[in-house]
Amino acid sequence: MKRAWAMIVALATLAPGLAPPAKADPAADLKAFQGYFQTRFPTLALQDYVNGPYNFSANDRAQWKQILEFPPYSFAVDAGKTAFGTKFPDGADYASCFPRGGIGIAQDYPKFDEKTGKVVTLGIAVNECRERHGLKPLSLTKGELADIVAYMTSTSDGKPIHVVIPNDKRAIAAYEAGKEYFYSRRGQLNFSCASCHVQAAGKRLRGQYLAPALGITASFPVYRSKWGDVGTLVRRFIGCNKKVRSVPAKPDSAAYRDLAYFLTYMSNGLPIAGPGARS
Amino acid sequence: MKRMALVVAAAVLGLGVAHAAGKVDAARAIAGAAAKMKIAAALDDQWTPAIAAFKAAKAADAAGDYAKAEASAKRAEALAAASIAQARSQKRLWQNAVPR
Amino acid sequence: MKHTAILLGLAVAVLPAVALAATPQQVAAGEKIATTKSLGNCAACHSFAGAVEPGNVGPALKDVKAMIPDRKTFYAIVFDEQARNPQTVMPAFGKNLILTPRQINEVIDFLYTK
Ligand code: HEC
Ligand code: HEC
Repeated sequence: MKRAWAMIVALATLAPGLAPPAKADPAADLKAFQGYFQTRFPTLALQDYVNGPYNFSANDRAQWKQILEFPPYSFAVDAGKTAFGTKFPDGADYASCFPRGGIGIAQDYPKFDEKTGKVVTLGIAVNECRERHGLKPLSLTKGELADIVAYMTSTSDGKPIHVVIPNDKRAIAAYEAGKEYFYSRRGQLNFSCASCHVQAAGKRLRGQYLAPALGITASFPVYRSKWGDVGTLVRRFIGCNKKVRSVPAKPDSAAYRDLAYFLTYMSNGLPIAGPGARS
Repeated sequence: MKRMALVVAAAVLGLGVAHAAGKVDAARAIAGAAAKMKIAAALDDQWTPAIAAFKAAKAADAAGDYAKAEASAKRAEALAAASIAQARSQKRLWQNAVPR
Repeated sequence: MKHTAILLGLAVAVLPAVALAATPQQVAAGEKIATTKSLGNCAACHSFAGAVEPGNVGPALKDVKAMIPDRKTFYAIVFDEQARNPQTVMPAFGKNLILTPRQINEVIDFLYTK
């Protein structure tokens, strides 16, 4: 009798597990994700998605093109290039911390770091380099670090995004965590990132066209007129979190690292178009 | 006269008791809000209005406005409870939003 | 005398209607809620007559009385549209304590004039 009960209890606790969670399959996710947008916006080519909100309004697009004639981010790229080339007090430099001297590598980030088991964005890699050489980390959202990342990204212009998820349990867990974050509703307004950038993509929230999630990372860092300077992808994450009345995560948190990992991976194959300009 | 004094004393005492009770109620509400908000934070789903209501409760408490402190703290707790419900239900529901 | 009788008659005829209709104050409060970002911000997603730069995430709200004749249904949509459509992007204004029951009623009063 006791045995039978134990069996029933065991079975009952197992029951929710009967339908096992779908096995993580990033490649299949990517196909479904890109396919979803291509079905919804059949006139857009894959590379068009890097233009984000400007795919949906001729008027906004014309204004944007005009702004790009004198790119507002060029000052940041120049400043970033200077900072990037400046030697550290110990004689080393940024180039020494990166493959290929840091030139033309932005499309490979975020990367999974096997040593720490964590996802590293290009901005975080810049800070890790500084700390290795005895310098303080910089703000991950704007300022000098955004300039350096803008410069490094400019050397990757047009290269296809190539984020790798190695067959490592920790890398796959990070990818899955980023995916869950992206699709989970949060904040008092009850939105997930996907509510606006998947479901309502291409529609207008007040006067703003919502950028589709596909290609959404490709133009970062961006010069934003509203900011009046250049900001990184995490700066945008923070802004979108606050918009839904949710307390944002920390710029170097696992949540944001994993989110960037998932979201950038979804745009694999699309060209880097950063730094960019936005209203 | 004696009677009068007694009534006044009772009234003063009564006020004091009411005041003390307000203070205790406010403190209890603030503790309740803090506990719920801790859970919300651990679930990575704190709402900014909960933080704002909690700050308002602490400020009112410090200023001795216990009724306002209690009301604000109760609002913070209700917001935190709603965010906890959201986070827990999303643990299952997020999958439904994934394009397939 | 005759006058008073007519007035009285009129008052009696109008009274039930007055009791049902929203006051101008309620409608004005509802309009503020529907267009203000920190309140309902319905205009972010819905266009309705008078909305400035409305969004188009949700359907246009016009002839609202015909659209949602039942006030209880309307209330439920604004309180928590997820109950009807789990995938909706419309915020749960009541459930998530964004608007008070009174504010939801005011916004309904306003939209019933559209
Ligand atoms: C309430 C709707 C909403 C939600 C929810 C939301 N965003 Fe946004 N997001 C916007 C708006 C509006 C803009 C600016 C217009 C545009 O480019 O889409 C924007 C812009 C962005 C951009 C820049 C796009 C570009 O091309 O410049 C990124 C990246 C982004 N959001 C990421 C996110 C992430 C990640 C989340 C989830 C944490 C999120 N957003 C949640 C509304 C939203
Ligand atoms: C973030 C966008 C958004 C906001 C903000 C929003 N809605 Fe909606 N609403 C929608 C969408 C999308 C629908 C379509 C139905 C669905 O998704 O379930 C909808 C549906 C409705 C409907 C039902 C229409 C029908 O055809 O039955 C009503 C009524 C409504 N909304 C009222 C409001 C009111 C009132 C407010 C402000 C308090 C508001 N909405 C704010 C997105 C929004």
